[in-house]
Amino acid sequence: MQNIQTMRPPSFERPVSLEVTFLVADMADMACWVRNVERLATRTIAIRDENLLDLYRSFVAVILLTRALVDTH
Amino acid sequence: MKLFLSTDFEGTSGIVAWEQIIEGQAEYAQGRVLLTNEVNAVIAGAQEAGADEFVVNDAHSFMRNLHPQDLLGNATLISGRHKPLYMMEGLDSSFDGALFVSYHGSIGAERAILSHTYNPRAIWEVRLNGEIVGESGINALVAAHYGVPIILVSGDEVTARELASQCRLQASARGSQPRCAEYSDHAPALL
Repeated sequence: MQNIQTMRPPSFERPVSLEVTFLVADMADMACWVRNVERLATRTIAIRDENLLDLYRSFVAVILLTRALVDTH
Repeated sequence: MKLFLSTDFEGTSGIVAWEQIIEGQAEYAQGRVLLTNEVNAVIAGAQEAGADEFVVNDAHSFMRNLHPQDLLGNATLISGRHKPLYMMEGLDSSFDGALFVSYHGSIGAERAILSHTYNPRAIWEVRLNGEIVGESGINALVAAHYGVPIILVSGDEVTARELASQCRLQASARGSQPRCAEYSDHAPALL
């Protein structure tokens, strides 16, 4: 905390690529409903963006959609 | 000084089993006590260092594990799961620092506590720019967007190591090794 003024935010090389491998292909199918999601393999998708917030929001949309396949309440 | 806390559950000191962190399970009430105490320990420590405004985003499971009346620091609590920025809801550029409290290592990470990445029933693996990443690394994207430094990570040692490796943080990780494998108690790792 004493050094907070000198601490820097995290940084990433852009564009950032998030690759998600699911347990089953159905989840990857569903993830591709989200704009800007690319299918890489049977169970794997990728989201790429220069804008980190847009990237995270797309990832959250994928998470919430695929939860619908497994959550019971 | 205004601070944002994203609070998970698995990385809380004293948590060793899923029954302690899932609603309706036998040990959930006890787990809640441990989590609340851990969050308040972070707030109290930050207050001693001069922080005076806190926003706590409950970021675990259904995201209603914390009770607002139990939090120190007159903290604002963000509860509930349906949030556009999910585990990072509430963060913006007005904050001086972000804190990841009670976090855990990525699914499959060696010696991580109750390891998973976002949804253990759906996600097998997540890679960020080609490297395996956990929730801490994914959530750091939001901190990076808003230009907010991550000033503390508490949880298992894997969490701190993964985050530092993933997004070029300037501090170094400190922590203790767990005594056993992933289902043992552990000491928090601080970044």
